[in-house]
Amino acid sequence: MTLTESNAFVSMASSADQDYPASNILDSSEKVFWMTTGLYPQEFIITFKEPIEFRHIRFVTSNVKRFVMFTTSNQEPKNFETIFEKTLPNNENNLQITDYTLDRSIDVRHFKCVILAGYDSFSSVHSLKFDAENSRMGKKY
Amino acid sequence: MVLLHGKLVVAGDMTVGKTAICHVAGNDVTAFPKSYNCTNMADLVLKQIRVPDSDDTVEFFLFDSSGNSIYLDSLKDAWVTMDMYCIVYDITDRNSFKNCGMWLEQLSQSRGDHNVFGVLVGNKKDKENYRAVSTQEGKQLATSRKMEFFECSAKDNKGIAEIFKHLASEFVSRYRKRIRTLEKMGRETY
Ligand SMILES: Nc1nc2c(ncn2[C@@H]2O[C@H](COP(=O)(O)OP(=O)(O)OP(=O)(O)O)[C@@H](O)[C@H]2O)c(=O)[nH]1
Ligand SMILES: [Mg+2]
Repeated sequence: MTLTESNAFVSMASSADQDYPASNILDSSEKVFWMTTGLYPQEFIITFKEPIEFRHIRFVTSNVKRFVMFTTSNQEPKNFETIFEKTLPNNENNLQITDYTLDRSIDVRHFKCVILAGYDSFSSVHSLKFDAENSRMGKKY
Repeated sequence: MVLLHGKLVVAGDMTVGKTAICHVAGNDVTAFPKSYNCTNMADLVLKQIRVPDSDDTVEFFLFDSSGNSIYLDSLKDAWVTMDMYCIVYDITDRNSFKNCGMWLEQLSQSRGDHNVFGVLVGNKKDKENYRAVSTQEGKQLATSRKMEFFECSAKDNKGIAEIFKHLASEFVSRYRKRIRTLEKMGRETY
């Protein structure tokens, strides 16, 4: 059981297929996923009941072409700051795994990801994990 | 049960009836424009279509493009994010049929990375006496370009529902197919 599962929840998502809900993003298994149901941009917000500190992100997707990630330490989900932006290669029949380490740890209350473009009408997010440090010893959230 | 959203680009020569088709889609018979107002650049029309025999719905963002070629460059930029397209000609206007190849070429140039699909539509079927393009010719062109073919009359609201039902069910089946692929990947990887 990671902290993510107990402390974090998806507080907003732009697509809602009840069989492939955004809550699947925080499920540690990559077998379950959130489907976007058409048109871009698509976005979701993850809210932490207790603010967390992290440095490392692992983001697993399919058919995503370009995305941006934002965070805020505000109580309310506003005044987001960009932390990371990336264009991914087309990996049609495989998952796209993105690992990213920030310059320093940041305090986060809300995390927002916007999928700006896709390689298909529909893209998917399979998992999103946060780590305190970029090391195996790091505390998992 | 799912609600999908898709951008449908409607293109073709001027006065073939693109705006009329967009407006009567979804059984809005009263929305047929009796007098001609040429579209400047493009209009956006929203229509929700239920997929037959299911609880699935597709909300179409109909990108009703002008047939005037002066807008072509800007149109092509806006077409990049399309999911589907519909090329329309007027069955009484041979020239509008000849230009379908050109429209198809323009669309495929700007289709971006998306896996798109489309239909070919011969409109103004109510003017049978003035027909200049046979149904057979239309079918042949569609088949050679791997599109579905339809004839319709926006004026009489005949054959319009069939076009949108086809597009909606094809869009949903692409969605379901993608899900099956992802689930299969999940089973094979672990
Ligand atoms: N008889 C008949 N007339 C139609 C039909 N559909 C459209 N029209 C008429 O054809 C004219 C042009 O229709 P529009 O829908 O505005 O044409 P368009 O393709 O949008 O033209 P642009 O916007 O200039 O590219 C209008 O006067 C319509 O009333 C049809 O099915 N039958
Ligand atoms: Mg028009």
